[in-house]
This record gives sequence, structure tokens and C-alpha cells, in this order.
Amino acid sequence: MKMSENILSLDKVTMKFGGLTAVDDFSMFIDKGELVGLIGPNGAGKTTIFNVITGVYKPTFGRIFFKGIDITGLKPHLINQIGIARTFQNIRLFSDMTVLENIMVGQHSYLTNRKALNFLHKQDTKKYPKASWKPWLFSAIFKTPDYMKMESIMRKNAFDLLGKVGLQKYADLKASALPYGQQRKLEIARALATNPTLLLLDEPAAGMNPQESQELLESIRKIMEDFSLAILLIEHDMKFVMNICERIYVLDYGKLISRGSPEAVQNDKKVIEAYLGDKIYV
Amino acid sequence: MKKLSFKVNLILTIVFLIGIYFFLANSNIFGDYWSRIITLIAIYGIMAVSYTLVNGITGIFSLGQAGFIAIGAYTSALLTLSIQQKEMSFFIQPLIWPLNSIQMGFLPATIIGGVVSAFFAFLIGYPSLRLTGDYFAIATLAFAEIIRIVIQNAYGITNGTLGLKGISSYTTVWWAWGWLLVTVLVIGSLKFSSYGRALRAMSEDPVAARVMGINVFWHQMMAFIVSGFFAGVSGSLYAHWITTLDPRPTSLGVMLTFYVLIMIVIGGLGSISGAIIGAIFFAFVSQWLRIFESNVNFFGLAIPGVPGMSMLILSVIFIVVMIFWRKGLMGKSELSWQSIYALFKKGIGDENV
Amino acid sequence: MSVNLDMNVLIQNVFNALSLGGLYALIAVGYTMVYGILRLINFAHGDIFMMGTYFAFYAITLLFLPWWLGFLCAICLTGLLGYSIEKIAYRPLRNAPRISSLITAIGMSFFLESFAVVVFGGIPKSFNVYPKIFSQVIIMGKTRIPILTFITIIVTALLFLFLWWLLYKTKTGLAMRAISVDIPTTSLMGANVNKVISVTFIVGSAFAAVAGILWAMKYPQVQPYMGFTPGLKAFIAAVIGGIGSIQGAIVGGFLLGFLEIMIVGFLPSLAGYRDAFAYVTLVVILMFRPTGIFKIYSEQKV
Repeated sequence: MKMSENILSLDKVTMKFGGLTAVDDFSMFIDKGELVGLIGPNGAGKTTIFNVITGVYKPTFGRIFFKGIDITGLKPHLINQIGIARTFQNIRLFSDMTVLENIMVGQHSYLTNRKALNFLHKQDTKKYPKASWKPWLFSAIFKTPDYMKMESIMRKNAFDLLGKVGLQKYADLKASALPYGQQRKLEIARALATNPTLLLLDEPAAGMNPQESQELLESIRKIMEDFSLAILLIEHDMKFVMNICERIYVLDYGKLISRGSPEAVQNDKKVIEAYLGDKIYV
Repeated sequence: MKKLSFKVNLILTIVFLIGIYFFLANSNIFGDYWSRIITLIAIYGIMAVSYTLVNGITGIFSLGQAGFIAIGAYTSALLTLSIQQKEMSFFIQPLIWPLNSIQMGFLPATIIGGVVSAFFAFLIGYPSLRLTGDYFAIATLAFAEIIRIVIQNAYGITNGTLGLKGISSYTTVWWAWGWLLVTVLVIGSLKFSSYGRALRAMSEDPVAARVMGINVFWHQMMAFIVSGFFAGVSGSLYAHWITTLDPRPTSLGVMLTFYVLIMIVIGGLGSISGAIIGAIFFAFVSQWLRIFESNVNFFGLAIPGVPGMSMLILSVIFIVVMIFWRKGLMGKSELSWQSIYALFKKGIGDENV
Repeated sequence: MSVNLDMNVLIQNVFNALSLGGLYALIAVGYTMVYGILRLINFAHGDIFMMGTYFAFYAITLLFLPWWLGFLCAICLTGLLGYSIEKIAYRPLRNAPRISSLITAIGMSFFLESFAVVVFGGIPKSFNVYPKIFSQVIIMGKTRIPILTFITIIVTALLFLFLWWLLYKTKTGLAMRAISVDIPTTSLMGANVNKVISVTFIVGSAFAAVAGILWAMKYPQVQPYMGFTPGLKAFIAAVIGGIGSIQGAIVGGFLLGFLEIMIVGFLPSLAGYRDAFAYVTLVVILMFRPTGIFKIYSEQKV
């Protein structure tokens, strides 16, 4: 099947809340190592699509494939363990925990991902090995050597990850004490800690000044190469998207109104109409 | 100052505890009354620490603690009661087999009490944990009441309203404080592990925790079961401390849940050391406030005691803490040698100035 | 297990269920109005109910008021009590996490119970302060129904009519309904949120006082912990009906009343488990339809 070449594909996804159709018959795909943008005016249903992909909502109709595997209706934690991580539009860090702990929470699922591994094993016995079971909870309570080793590996990895986004010096600070821009970076780092192959970024540049968003743009490019990721990015700021994305999907009122390269989309009459009167489109 | 490592803290604590042991073992400073109070503190401590694992660290609000305590208390009491005693007490309806022919030691009975409680925690948690917030609180309260009503009516197992009498008073200071130490070590170790981080993350933002790959339901369940086990243990210790059990709402009913809630709220929701401080506070204050409930002769003027006064004052303290000092004594943090040292240093520093 | 089927018993049970259900509904309305506006389970509501009966008892025995005036005074005082509780304990926590206000409400319940023990004494008192005619029995054929049952049903019906008038025919009622949808917007529209919340507490507490007095006449005694079980059951009634919905609370109250009376009436061997029915019903409802019969709240947005 052609599906398997794409890392993610949405097949005619519809999401209804009561009488309201937030996403209507939406299809898309992302190839390996691609950076795809998802844009549209406020309330167009972009975040709903993220929630559908990550399993927070179950779509009313349609199917979602990740690496050729049907993941429709899977629980959010399983979807994450299989390899999709995300950030939130309104930053949702664990603000009472330290920066380092935030990252380490992202790594916790290494201990408990047996169900996800077995799910993958069931899909393709050759490609994915069967998961082995270890009583990690008891190891954690009794502080067995293999748990302590795991803990130190997690700590080291978390430090390395913080180094990559330049937050190492804040490691022991509470997450809520970080400045706004750094919190955005921390949220991305936390998502990376779950070891994803696809990263969903929900308005990463929101509330940033041009210089900060330029910086962010560069670090996103770097992250993509370092972790060999595919990225799906929601953005309100059109310029930001035009600079970074290879392909763009445009949503309005839950419907796909345009898609293609940044230039093609920019000149699409429907897109201009949808954005007309929206201050951010200049 | 450099941060003390977990190991250093642990070693200091063990040295401290050994010191206390020698101090206590070689002296007989406590009379019978005080040794009973000190035992009770440890029992309350176990109740509070196990409760704070759910209500504080995991951040789900259960009101079912008394139900698990009651299950542990009844299970272990039925296991340690002598066979003759059981035949004597169960005169409305004889005790069912095999409970009527078993008698075992205190330690296995306590562990079995904890395991049975943990099993009920699983049974109750499985449906209830699908609910959130207030709904979860009410569902657990309802389950605890169902447990109490069943205890009240199942004459063949629990002796119903007649209750259990003549339970041996096995719970000594050593048993109680020993179990408290085990509770603190296990729940403390859990709190400061990867699982503990996951629990704290969930309590802050379950949705974010979920998309970080944490199975929120099973982690909450795990906390609920561990909490249920130690609640059962505390119930067993309580049964063998008080020596009679009955299912009135004011003894093993919702009132007990409120008492434990007072302890953990005053100590700070989510702090293990805070829970113990809260337990000490509750035990002392409720004992000390008893003077208001007995007749006092004040310079020849006889002041009649007012029953219920201690609970009234405690409830006022509880509400004041909630309104003005919502974090309690410790907040979510723990008492450590470092913080004691810092407090001490600050005190000296102030004197120098 | 013997099943008891008899027409006269059935009629008698229907009346009992109507009066018990009406009482549950009266208390449940107080829970549901507060929850609808503040999203707070007012744990102390059952104890407000208990305080109402004590107020009535002492107004008549200590102040020698005639029974009707005593009852009226008690109802007003209880309304005032509800108002003060909201102002002292709940208002400072209005913007705190919801669990904090729930804990405070539990503390308040605990406070009122201890207060009653200290001030009124822990020993149950016989509530024989109402005219003797209330306890007389009307005999219709073979069915015997106490006058009190009729009074309970009539009073309940009248109070619900009053509530309907308050909610749908007055400006305050409009504001109450609006606030239960969205506090910030309503206050922007010029409604005095504090005033509306106060009115809610006063009305809810006064209803609880009426229910308390009727309850105390039915089981003629008062004691400090009498509010716990009816309070919890009424709360369950509100959840069954869909908490936040007033129609739901009324329907839930009657449903629970019928369930309890009918199960005990027809399966007397289960009488000991009478109090457990409500809890089991609650658990079942929460598992399969957590929003209750009248769904009000939709899922939270992520």
C-alpha cells in the first residue's frame, strides 16, 4: 500500500461536537523528514486536528495512519509511545516541577511502554520485536541497581537534551520561573524526550517578537536534522510558515481550502479571502 | 550550601532513628497513657501518608479512605481473634467458614489486611477512576459508605452492629512506628522515582501527561492500590490498638476520613513529612483539647466540660488553614536535614544581628 | 425473600415515596443551585438542614413562639446561616482550585456538626413541638396515611411553584440562570454576581430548613448528625438528575424516594441495606451516564 511511505496520513477525517462540525472531511499526509504547515484563521479547526491525531479526541469519521498503521481511536499515551509527540498552543508545562524533571517526565514512558510495543508487534511481527516485561514499579520502589542505572541514564539524556535547546543552566529552576520564550523551548524539548518520529507543534512562535521567532525557526530546523524528525506545524504567523515549510495545508471552517507549496498557497484567491480582515496577514 | 544527596539524607535519618531507639529502649519515661498516644500517632501517620499519596501526590480527591481502613481492620481482627472468642461474640449468626477456624499471628494478619484492602482499592478504583474531580470524590465516598453498610449488615462475617470485641492489643509502639517507617520508605521511594514524577505531572495537568505517554488511568490506579494497602495496614494496627470495632459512622465511617483529611491538609497536601506532622498535630491537639470536655476546677470555680469542644476547635483550625494558608505547613515539599539546618542557621544568624 | 404485593400497601407506599422523594428533592435543589453557579459541592448543605431543625426546636421550646412562627423564624435564620457560610468560608476561595473549596465545604460540614454537638448536645431530642393534628392518620378503606404526609407533599409542591416563579419570572432568577452558564460574561452584563450567589444560598438553605422541619416531624427527633445521610442522598438525587439542573434535582429526588420506599416495601429482607440503595444507584449512574438524566455540562475543551 502507498500508505506505508508516508509517516502520517489522515484519510477523510471528520470531527463533530454535537451539531458543530469542527473538521470536515479532511485528508492530508506527511512524508519522512518533511516539514508541513497547517494554517488557517482562528477557529478553523487546526488544534482539533492535533487533538484528533494525538488521540485526545476520537474522530467521528475517517481514519488516521501512522507509518502505515491504523491508529484511529488509540489512547493518547499509546499514540505518544508509538512516536507522535506534541506541544500546546497555550503552554502546558508541569509548572510546579523543575525544568529537568519536566524532561524526565517525558522519558517516563520508556518504563511503561510495553503495551505500545506489543501493539506494534501485533501489526508487524518482523519489524517490531515483542516487548519484554520488567517489574519496573517494584524496581523503582526498592531502588534496584537496574532501576538506578535507568534513572542515571534518564538524567544524563535529559541534560543532553536541555543542552541542545540551550536550557542546561536552568535545569534546577521551576518551569514556571522560565521566561516565556524559554518555556516554549522547554515544551518542545519535553516533547522530544518522548523519542518521537513525528512532532506536532501548535503555534510555537505565538507571542514572540520577530527576533525570537527567527531564533526559534533556526532551532526547529536544527532539531529536525538532529533527531531526523517529521514536523507538522500549526501557525498563525504566515511569514513564519512561508519561511520554513515545504508544503502547506490551509483550513477554513474545518474544510481544506488550499494546499501546496508556500508560493502556490500564498497566491490562492480562496486563502486571501479567508484571511481578509485578519490582522496578522499583512 | 551544596545540596545533600538522597543517600546522605537517608543515612542521617537512619542514624537519627537508631539514636531515638536507644533513647527510648533504655528509658521508661512514658507511662501507659503516653505510650498509647505515641502509638496512635504512628497509626494516624500511616493513614495520613497513604492518604496523601492519593489526594496530594497523585492529585485525585478520594473520600474513601475510611472504607479501606475499615476493611483492613476487620480482616486482620477476624484473623487474629481466638476461635473461642469468635464463637462467643457471634451469637446472632455464626461466623462463616473458613474464618471460624483460623487464628494467626499479628504480622501475617496485618499483611493480609493490607492485601485485601489493596484488592478492594482495585475493585473500587477501576470504575471510579474513570470519573474526574468532584465526581470521583463522591463516588469514593459512596463506596466507603457501601462498605460500612455492608459491614453493618453482614452478621455472618463481621458480626454486624454488635461489632468485634476482645481483639488482643498487639499494637505496640514498635509495631506502629515500624510500620510507619515502612510506609514512609515505600511511599517516599515511590514519590522520588520516575513514577513519582509521573504522578506529580498528572496531578498538575492530566492531559499534558497523557500526551507525554503516561497512562494516567493505570498510574492513578497504582497509587490508589498502594494507598489502599497501607490504609489496610493502618486499619489492622488501629483494630489491635482500640481492641473493639463497630461500624458506626463516627468510628470507622466518613468521620475518620475527615480526620485524616484534616491531618493532611494541615500538613500540606502532597508532603509525606507534612502528613506525619499533621498526624502528630491532630493526635496531640485532639488529646490536649479534651480538657475542654472534662470538668475543670479553676481556682475553686467548677467549669463544666463541654463534649465535642475539641472537634469544634479542630474544625475551626481546619477552615482557617484552608482560607488563609491553603498550602498547609509543608506545601508539597519535604522536611529534610537540609531544611532543618537552614532553619537552624537562620535562627543563629538572626541572633547575631 | 418474600415479595409483598397488596393494593393498600402499594397506595400507602406511593404516598410515603412521594413525601420522602419530595424531601430529597427539596434538599437536592439546594445542592444543584449552588453547584450550577459555583461548581461547588456544598458538603455543608446536609448540616444546614440539621441546623434548621434545631432552630425550629429551640424557637418553640425556648422562646415559646407559636409553632408556625417558630418554623418561620427557623426558616429565615437558616437562610441567614447559608448566607453567612457562603460569605465567610466560600467567597474567599472562589478563585482557588475547585478541590480547595470542596475541602473547605467538608470542613464547614464538620464545623456545623461539632457546633451542634457543643451547643445543642449530642443526645437526640424528641421533636414534639408541632400541633398534634399533624400526626393523625387519615383512614381511606384499608389504607392509613398520616396527615403529615399530605402536608409534606403539598408544601413541597408549593415551594417548587415558588422556585419556578423565582427563576423564570424575576430578574434575580434570570441572573441566576445566566450566571450558571458563565460568571464573567454575566458580571460584564451588569448583574451583581455576589448578590445573586447570596440569594442562591439563602433560597437553598431556606428550602433545606423546610425539608428539615418536615423531616423532624416525620421521624420525631433531632440530633447533630441527622443531616449527613439525607444530605448525601439528596446530593445523589441531584447527580442522578444531572447536577446543575433544577428539574433534574426534583426528578432525581422523587426517583430516589420511590426506589428506596418500593424496594424496602416489597423486599423487606433488604431493609438493613436501605441506605446503600442510593449509593449503589449513584455508582451505577456515574458509570454509565455521569452527566445524569438532564445533561447540562459538555466535555471540557482541551
